[in-house]
Amino acid sequence: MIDLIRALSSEHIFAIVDYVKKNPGQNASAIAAALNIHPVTVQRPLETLTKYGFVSVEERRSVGRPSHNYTYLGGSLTIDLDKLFSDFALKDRLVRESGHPDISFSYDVDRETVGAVLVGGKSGRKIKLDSYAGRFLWLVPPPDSEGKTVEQIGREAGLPPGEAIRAFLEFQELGVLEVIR
Amino acid sequence: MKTLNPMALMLALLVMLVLYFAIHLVVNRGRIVLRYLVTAILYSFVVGLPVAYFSFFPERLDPLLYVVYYVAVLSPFFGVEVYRSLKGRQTWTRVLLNLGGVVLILSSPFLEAPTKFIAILAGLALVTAFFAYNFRYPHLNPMWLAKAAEKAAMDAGKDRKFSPKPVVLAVESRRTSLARIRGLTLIFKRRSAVVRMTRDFHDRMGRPNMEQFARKLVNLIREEAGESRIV
Repeated sequence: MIDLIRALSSEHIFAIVDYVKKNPGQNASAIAAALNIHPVTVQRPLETLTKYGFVSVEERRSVGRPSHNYTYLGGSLTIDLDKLFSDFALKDRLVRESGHPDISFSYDVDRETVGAVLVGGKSGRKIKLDSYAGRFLWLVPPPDSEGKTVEQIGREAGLPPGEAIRAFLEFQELGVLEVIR
Repeated sequence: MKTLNPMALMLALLVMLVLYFAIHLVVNRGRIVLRYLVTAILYSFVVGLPVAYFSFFPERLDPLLYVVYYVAVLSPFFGVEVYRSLKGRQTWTRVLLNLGGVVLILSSPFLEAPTKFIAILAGLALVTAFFAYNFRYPHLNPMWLAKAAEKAAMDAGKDRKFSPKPVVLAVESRRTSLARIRGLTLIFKRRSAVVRMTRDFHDRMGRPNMEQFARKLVNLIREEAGESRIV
């Protein structure tokens, strides 16, 4: 949830959403060019809005990298402040990889990040990770290790505590991580 | 016309074999693994024999065939080495010393004396510097690394879980380097060490605790290289 709040408080969010509403099916580069801002500035909040279902994304493949085209869907948002603030205490959880045999990873050693988690073997589900989650998972200690706290991993990965907690919750739900205490 | 005395040939091969064994014995600090040694010596013969033959019989040299042969034999090895350096996984020093030495020695059949001997001596000097560089960083020698991995695995528990994700340790290194043996890849970056292993390797080592194994292996390397241990 903290990522959505962050996305909604970004400087260009109103301009980006307004443009996507008026021009559905555009990719981040086209939106960025029209608004004269950097594509990453456009892409990150749109990815977050997509995750929460306020924007839809369609992947178009042609020569080169696939293009992600965004369309505004809209919707309403309820924030559970109790949950939001209690999540912060999760930063002290000691975690490590679960070592589940059905989980594998696609990673980039040079960029020191995990790009995707594959659940259920090679023919299973592939979950692509954003840069924050990928960086967090790269630094998660292996199975049977002594583990590290969520905050410590987040700090080593250069992430704000909120992003580290979000990544932790995402990976715990997938069964990638286990909590030691 | 010159002919090759079979005894002289046998003697030359024996000297080459002994020399190669001695080099590997030194750079691997006495830890010899037969499988790796045989591969290294076979590859050395594939590279070394044609240049030795054409140095002795320069009149039989077909330059085009010679160049094509060496490009075919060396490009897979040096292709990988150059790729690793371009990606910043190892220093250019190692590649340039090795490549420079090999190219100088291999170009000798095309040269006349005394340039020929200068090229061979300069090539040998570069190759010696390459082996000295490898000696300085023990993990760059597969035989030493294979034995060190076995030693690290012995003290790292048994029947523990495996993950295909590499183990990342926060450790500073003087140089970036990459070492690989069957099933294990080790990358030293400026601020971290990445230890990647296959499930098969993990099984062969007795399924050790991955973090403990990585930590012990890195410590063995750092101790041997004269660097401080990580906690």
